[in-house]
Amino acid sequence: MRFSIIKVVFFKELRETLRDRRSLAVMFGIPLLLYPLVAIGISGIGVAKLKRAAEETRTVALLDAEGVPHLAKMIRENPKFKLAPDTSADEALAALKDRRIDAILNPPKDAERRALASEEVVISLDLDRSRTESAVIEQRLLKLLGDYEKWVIGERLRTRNVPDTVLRPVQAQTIDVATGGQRLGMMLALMLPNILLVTGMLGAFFPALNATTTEREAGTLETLLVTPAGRTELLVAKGILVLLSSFLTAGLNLVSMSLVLWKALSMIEAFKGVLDINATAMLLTYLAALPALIFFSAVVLVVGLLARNFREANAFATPVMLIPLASVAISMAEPAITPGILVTPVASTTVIIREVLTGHVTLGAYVLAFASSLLYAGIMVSLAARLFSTEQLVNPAWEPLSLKGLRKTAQIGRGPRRLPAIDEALILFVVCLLLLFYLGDVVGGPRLLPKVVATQILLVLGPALLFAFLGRYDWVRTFSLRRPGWPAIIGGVCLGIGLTPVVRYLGTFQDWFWPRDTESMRAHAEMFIRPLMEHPWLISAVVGVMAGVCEELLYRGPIFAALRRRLSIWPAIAASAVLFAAAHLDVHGLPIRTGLGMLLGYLVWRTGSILPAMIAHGLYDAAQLAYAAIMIRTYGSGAEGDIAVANLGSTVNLVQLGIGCLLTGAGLYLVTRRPIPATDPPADGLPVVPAADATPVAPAAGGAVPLH
Amino acid sequence: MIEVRELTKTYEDPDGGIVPAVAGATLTCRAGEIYGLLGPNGAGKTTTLRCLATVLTPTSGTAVIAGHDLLRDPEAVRRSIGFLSATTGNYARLTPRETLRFFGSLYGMEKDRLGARVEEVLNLFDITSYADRPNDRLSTGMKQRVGLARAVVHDPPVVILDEPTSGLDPIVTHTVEEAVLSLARAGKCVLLSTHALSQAEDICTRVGIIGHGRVLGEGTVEDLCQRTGTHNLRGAFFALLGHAPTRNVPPGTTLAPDPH
Repeated sequence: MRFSIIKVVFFKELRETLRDRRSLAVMFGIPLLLYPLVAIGISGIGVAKLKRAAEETRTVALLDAEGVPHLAKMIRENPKFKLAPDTSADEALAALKDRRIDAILNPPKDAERRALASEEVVISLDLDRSRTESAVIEQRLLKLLGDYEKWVIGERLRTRNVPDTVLRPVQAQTIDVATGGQRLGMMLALMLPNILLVTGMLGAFFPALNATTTEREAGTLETLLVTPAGRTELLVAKGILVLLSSFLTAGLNLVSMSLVLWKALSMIEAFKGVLDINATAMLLTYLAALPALIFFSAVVLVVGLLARNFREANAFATPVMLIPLASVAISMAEPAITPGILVTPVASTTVIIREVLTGHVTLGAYVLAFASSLLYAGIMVSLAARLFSTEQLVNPAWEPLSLKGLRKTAQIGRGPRRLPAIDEALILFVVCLLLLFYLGDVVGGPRLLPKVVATQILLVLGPALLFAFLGRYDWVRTFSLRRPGWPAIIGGVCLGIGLTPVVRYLGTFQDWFWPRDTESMRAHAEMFIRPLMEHPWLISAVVGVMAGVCEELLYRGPIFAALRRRLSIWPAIAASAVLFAAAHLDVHGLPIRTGLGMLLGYLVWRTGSILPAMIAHGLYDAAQLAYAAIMIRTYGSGAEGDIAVANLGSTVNLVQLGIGCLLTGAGLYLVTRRPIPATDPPADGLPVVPAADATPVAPAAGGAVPLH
Repeated sequence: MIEVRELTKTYEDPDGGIVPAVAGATLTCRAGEIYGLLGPNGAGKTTTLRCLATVLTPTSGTAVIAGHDLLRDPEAVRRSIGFLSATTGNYARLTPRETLRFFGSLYGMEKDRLGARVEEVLNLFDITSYADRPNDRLSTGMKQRVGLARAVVHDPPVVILDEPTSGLDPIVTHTVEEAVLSLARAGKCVLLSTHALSQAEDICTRVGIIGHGRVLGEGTVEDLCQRTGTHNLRGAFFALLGHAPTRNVPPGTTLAPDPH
């Protein structure tokens, strides 16, 4: 990588950005002007209103004033109140609704005499809460009534010759140990993560689109690609500028918002002198946000690379801009700091900023959140680099996010047999996910067996078959419906059984640093315990077969086939595995299910057939449930049984683990014995070239072609 | 300077089939000549030129440009060529002078040499009077001159032009053609694609007729006419493409007036 090339391209991009008024408005205009103007406006209006509300005299109607003479006297002597002339209840209510008076106090008849006689008396306070000043009025009147109550109590005690100090045995005194910086930090923690991420993304938006979409539209990208500058060098130079814009915009917003909030709050009496800006916390906050800013900058670059023109880029970017809003919800929920939260995108940045601002952050948590965000940023940057490397980038007709595949599906029954396109596969996945989410609890009723069968057939397999039928997919190529050799079948069996103890052990290891939520663990165990007690082997067999057949036909069927057309084999295996794991709607189970999904995808590719993967998946699920059934028999169905089933990992012993590892190894050996079959089309997207034809062949067709 | 042998480029269509955009193109272009690649829309001209410019990777075949192998040493190829197409544009917020400086820097030209060369190219293409005006405020003809200047700022031995006069008016077209002729006179190898027969006849030293992804015939206009038994480039063009021309009149023939 040549620094001289990167420097030349970077400064060209910088020059263009500085001449782009839109970029400058977003980067500088909003933080430097908008916040102060909004703060001035709000404080000007708000403070004036509060002041007016505090000083204004309130008119109160006191019904049956003769019955509460002392209360009437208190109202007359209070300069903040004015007693309305005597009136009936109906007239007073009408006056209240017309806003001629501010409140009505309605004591029962002879209230004061009865209260002094130790009766409990209720004085109702009628207010109009549709008025913005009603809170101030209520607060004042409740204080007045509180003082009246104290007078009544004092009179009661006096008649009994008891001093009123008996009512004050314990005095509470609140001491706030938080620093001014922590107090301000708590207020900032709600909105600051969101502000940082959104403004960072906005700051990156126009430079990213200028560097990608605009270059494609204007035809200048091609002029760059025919120079000696490598694609990586070009992307690094453009990426640096996009990042700098993002960092600068986010930084300016951080400083501006903090200063404005501090200044605005300091004008309020309650906060005078108790708030501070902690510079170190601000710096750590900014640092914590940097990986997330890199991530979102890369997201905007990807959007720019996928869009054919500026209008399309705007349309793609709009839903993407909503992602940082998740940080607002997370801030409000205030989740506990767990390793799981610290590796979850957006959530990790949000919670660590909160911890920094409130002065409770630990080094380990900070490092974990930073590292995980950096990892996701790296993945997104790789995706941007991969897209930038595709030679289709200079093709104005390239529509990576087109729905051409879906339009073909809509033709229903017409056209030749074909493979699914990536857009169809993703929509199929989303349809299944939504069906599972909304109907998963309803379909099949409350009993486990009918529920599993109905869910798998109607919500998993059904959509896959429907899409295949409507889209006229080639059944053999799409679902890998080929007969495998016996080694592959036996390998699938070995893997299905061998993985059971291995995965349990891995689960225990995961639980050690990322404990599962006990409530969901119990609920999951509960769903299976009773049915396993009644029909242990039937449940195991049916669930195994259903999951093995239906889920494989969906995830290693059209979804995998479509991904393989666009990606090389390992990214396709990984992507289908992630989708498979995500569809189970269980964040904690995501890593292990992804691993299993990758193994199953590998089986399909390596053997050219879906059958070994079905066998492995089905046997694995069946074995897990059979193991659970054995545990229930051993420990019973009570609390011990619940705990045993919920903690099955810890019941795996080394012998079982050893056998599991051996069987897994044997299974992998058996499925890799034979060479990769030459499926039609080639399984990894490369044309099959006989060894005798030694002509250099570049990867054909479709997917990203790495350029020099 | 340019030798292409059996160049092939295929794509995958949405149904998984293979579409050959270029199917074994073979051509030779020498220094000091203008080679016109002539063909109908969709013949494979643009794909061929983009492969030679290293924007696309050929599926198979070989090419040697200015002594460098296209597949083995693409960066050396890019250093040796200037490329301009009908779809390439200029940076809207840069001026012509800034554009030439930028591209000259990308080609590794040193500061002193770059400054002199930029002024030379600005003079050569008569851009000096608007050299400091932003590109988005230039007319179409001016922009095309800036594009051509950008393609040759680093003085490459080979210039590849993909329909450089597409959409231009006759005056600007003439200006561009004069500029292309001057490049050939300066000893550069110019490979130019066009679907305008008259342009090929006027400025090209040799012509290659491309159809269905293959170069169906190449040579001087006279060679092509002789080979196809026709009297002009138009006749040769249609003969090679396998379409009967609507008229194939020998030169000098007086046409009788239409009785109707």
